[in-house]
Parts: sequence; C-alpha cells; structure tokens
Amino acid sequence: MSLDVANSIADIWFRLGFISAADLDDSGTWVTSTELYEWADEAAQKLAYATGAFITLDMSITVSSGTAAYTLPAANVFTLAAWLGSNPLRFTPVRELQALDATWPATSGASTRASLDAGSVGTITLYPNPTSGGTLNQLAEEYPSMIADGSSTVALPSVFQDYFSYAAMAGARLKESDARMEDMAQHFEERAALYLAIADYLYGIGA
Amino acid sequence: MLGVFSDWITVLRISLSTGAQVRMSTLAQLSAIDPAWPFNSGASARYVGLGADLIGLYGTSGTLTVVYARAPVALVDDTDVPEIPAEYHPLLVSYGIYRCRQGEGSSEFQKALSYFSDFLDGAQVYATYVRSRNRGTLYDHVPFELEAYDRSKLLGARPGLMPDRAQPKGDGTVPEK
Repeated sequence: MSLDVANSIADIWFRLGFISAADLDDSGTWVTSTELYEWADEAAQKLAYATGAFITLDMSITVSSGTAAYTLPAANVFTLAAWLGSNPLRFTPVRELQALDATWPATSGASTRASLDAGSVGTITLYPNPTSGGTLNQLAEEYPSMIADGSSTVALPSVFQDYFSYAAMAGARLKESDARMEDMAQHFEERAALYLAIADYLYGIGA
Repeated sequence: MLGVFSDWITVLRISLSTGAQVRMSTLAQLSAIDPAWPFNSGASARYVGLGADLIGLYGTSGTLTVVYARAPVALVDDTDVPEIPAEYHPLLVSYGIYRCRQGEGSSEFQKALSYFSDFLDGAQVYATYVRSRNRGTLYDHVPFELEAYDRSKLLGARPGLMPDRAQPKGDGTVPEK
C-alpha cells in the first residue's frame, strides 16, 4: 500500500503551532495546507532525482513504422533500459551513430539502438528508423504524479511517511512570516536528508 | 510490490517453491546474460530490485517465496505493544518527547535533541544486531548503516547551548593542592 501525504499533513499541524487541523485551514493563516502539499511535491521530485526510488515500466509510447523520434513522458527523469516490443535497444550516443553509419537518419530497418541525444532534449530516437511498429517498453525513473489535496498517494513504503512531513515543515519554517524559524527548518531539512540517504541506500542512486 | 505486500520496504531473499534461490542481480548483469531478459518465460533464476516498488524477474514462471523487510505494525491503541524488544521501548518515549517539542523551536527544542540522540543510539545498536543477523542468514540486503551517517547537523542546531540533560563531569570534589 502506498503512503498518503495527507497523513503527513494531518500529522504536522501541531508541530507548526496550530491548535487543530481546522485551525490550519482557517483563512489568513501564515501557512496553508495547499503550500504544505506543494512542498511535499517538491520533496517527491527531489527524491526522484536524487535516488532511484520511482523506477517504473513505462509502456506509454507506441512506435509507428517510419517514425524514429518520440517525445518521452513528461515525468521521465532517466531511462535505464528499453525494448521495442521484446527486442532490446542498445543505448548509443549520437556521435557513435554517426561513426557507425554516416547516413544514420536515413537508414531503415528493425530498430536495434536508441539514442537520448540524437534529437532534442526529452526525446528518444530509434536506429534504424523502424519499419514495424510496437510498444516502446522502458524501465525508467519517473516523477510520481503531482501531490495535491485529493491526489496525495505516493508509491513508497509507509516508513517514508515522515520524509514528506519534514520536507513540508522545512518549507513552512522557511516561509517569510512571523512563524519563520530558520534553525528548525535546518533541522527538518536534515531529517529529510537522512531519509534521502536511506532511500539512496535501499533503492540506488538517481540521475 | 506495494500492491502485493502493503508493508513492503525491500527484498531480502526470493526463492522458488522448490527451495532454489532466485539470485539477486544488477540490471547490467541481466542485460549481459540476456538482453531480452524481461521476456524470458522460463523458471525464475534471477531478480533485480528496481526502485521502491518494482522487482524485475529473469524467468517468469514458478511460484515465488519472498522474504522481505517490512514496516512495523502501527501503534494505534493504548494496549498496542511495539514489535521491537522491550529494552528499546523507553527509546520510543524519548523519540516521542523530541517529536512533541518540535513546535517550540530555538533553545527549547535544543533541549529535546538529546532525547533524539538517545533514540538514534538505540536504533544504531539494534540495527547492528539485525545487520549481523541478516549477514548470517545470507540475506540480499542489510539495514542502513546509521553509524556511517554524519549526525552532527541533525543534533547540532544550536551548538552553543547546553543540552538540558548534560551531566557534570568529575566526582564533585576539589583536588587538594
């Protein structure tokens, strides 16, 4: 079962000096639950970059015959491996494609290679230009869906719940307001950093 | 894996129903063995951990027995008992005090950091025991090495202040001259 950042928000209002959850949601408070969700979302993105916690099998790209370049999903951080259908694609920098085949953009056939720098940033280019379509299967690190009120589940073990609590509290205590506490924010950031180190240890390094 | 085991943290060992171990591998190793490894339908022979929620299997047939590190059962009711040994239970109280005082800030919070330090010390001791046990059992993973983590920034928010539980040094007598 994935963790729910809503549990973190419900868990931190007293540590931010509010007397109840309803008090946090009153108008005119120095921090809002929307902002807390935003800081948690930033923390999730940081986790996606800094560790390999969010690796997924992405099958969202359908390859068409005669089209070599495809836009990667917006959430893509990095791709570890790819297959066109069940045929493996070997990642190859564009300079090696050039060395391999001077007219590589015009070469057609069954795709055997993929390049992440042959096209613009955020695209994947297949070589040779495929003569048959299929699903592009990618093992890729991807951002989790945006965390907000009502869509706050993250595919992480529940033991990482406090990572989001501390990230949200760090953001709150660094916000310019009468309740700003830089020393507390520093401590909360260090607590979040400890969770990052644990995720790095358990799930591997990121980008 | 979180959809299968709701309390999942990480894999420790995978074996087939016959008892044969499914060996842990890296992605590079699997790609070297068989570039089309995800599509191999033979008996599971190797696995690779991929992130917090995904396991890749080389060979997809067979029933698997999975040993994994799990999250502790949540403490909800007054009568709930922590799953860790009783000698560590007081450290949960220490952590609770530290946590309750997080709203205060500054020098008041500094006083609570010694409780957090005690908790981390206990966690480190128990993790060392679990790590030795996991190594003895030949599990594929061992706990995070807390002792290798630089705690100075965690516990030194205001280094100039005296913690409230600092003990005086010496026996209290003045040596004769």
